[in-house]
Amino acid sequence: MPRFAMPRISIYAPYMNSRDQLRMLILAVLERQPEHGYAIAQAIKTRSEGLLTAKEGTLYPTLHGLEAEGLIQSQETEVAGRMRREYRLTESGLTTLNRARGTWRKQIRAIGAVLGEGA
Amino acid sequence: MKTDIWLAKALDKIAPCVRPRLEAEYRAHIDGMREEGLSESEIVAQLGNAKTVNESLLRQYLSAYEQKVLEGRSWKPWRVWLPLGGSLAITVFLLLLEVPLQTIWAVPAFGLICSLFFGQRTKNMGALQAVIWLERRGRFVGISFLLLLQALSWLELGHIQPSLLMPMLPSLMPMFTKNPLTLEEKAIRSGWLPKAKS
Repeated sequence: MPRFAMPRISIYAPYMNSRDQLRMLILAVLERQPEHGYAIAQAIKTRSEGLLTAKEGTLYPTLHGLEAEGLIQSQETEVAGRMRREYRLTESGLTTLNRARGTWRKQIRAIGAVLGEGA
Repeated sequence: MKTDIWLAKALDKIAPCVRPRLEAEYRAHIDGMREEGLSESEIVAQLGNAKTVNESLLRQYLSAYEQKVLEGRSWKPWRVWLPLGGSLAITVFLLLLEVPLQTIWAVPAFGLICSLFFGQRTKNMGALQAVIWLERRGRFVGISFLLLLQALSWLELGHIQPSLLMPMLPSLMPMFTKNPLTLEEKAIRSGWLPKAKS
């Protein structure tokens, strides 16, 4: 049954929710090199020194959403004798990532100003 | 096995057209975790709540029921173009007979509504993309249009009966739902309909 709520307006919002953050992290991981789903989850965990541990089941709906928006592309490749779907960043994904970085920095600066840090 | 139960719950009711891809990706992910030495319970804990994942997947992809609904449709491209072209032809004909536009405005509007309604039943990707575009962005235009007509009616300008437009209201309802994707978009995302060539 549809639950009633106002439409999402995240495109215009100057802040990022946790979903937007996961999207940004995925794009940032893929900026370095193409990866498959499991390696993306591992990279996020490793680079954040274990602090960021998103529930990995939600990774694929997010990856597929990014793919549908044309921000990443995927293709099946053989890794160690097994078929894996590898994701790579597109030009449009790179542009979105750079924009997301700017938004994120603004958000951090704003929160820091409120907390009285790094002014 | 706990992971099999998790997979069954996470992929519950997902359409057969998309399920194999999702299942293959989740199985590869689970294999990776096993190779890392994680136990079944740890794997399930890291994957998260299967019900939440299932809800998230059903928001993006067709459910088995929705796929059946789409398969049950009769897909004919003329269903889009005939009401639109027909209503425009009638409008031009009436204009040639010098019938005032404010009297016959409902003819092309009705044609457009019929075209949109039947447009959801075509595999003509151009038409389908137009329907999706209108469904997603046209709601705001639709509401403004209704409000404008209502205002004109109150001001007693033109021969407008807003009650005729009431059938349009249900089409605006998806604006207030949490699910941002239309059935057609889910069908494209699930691979049931081909992606439009860019």
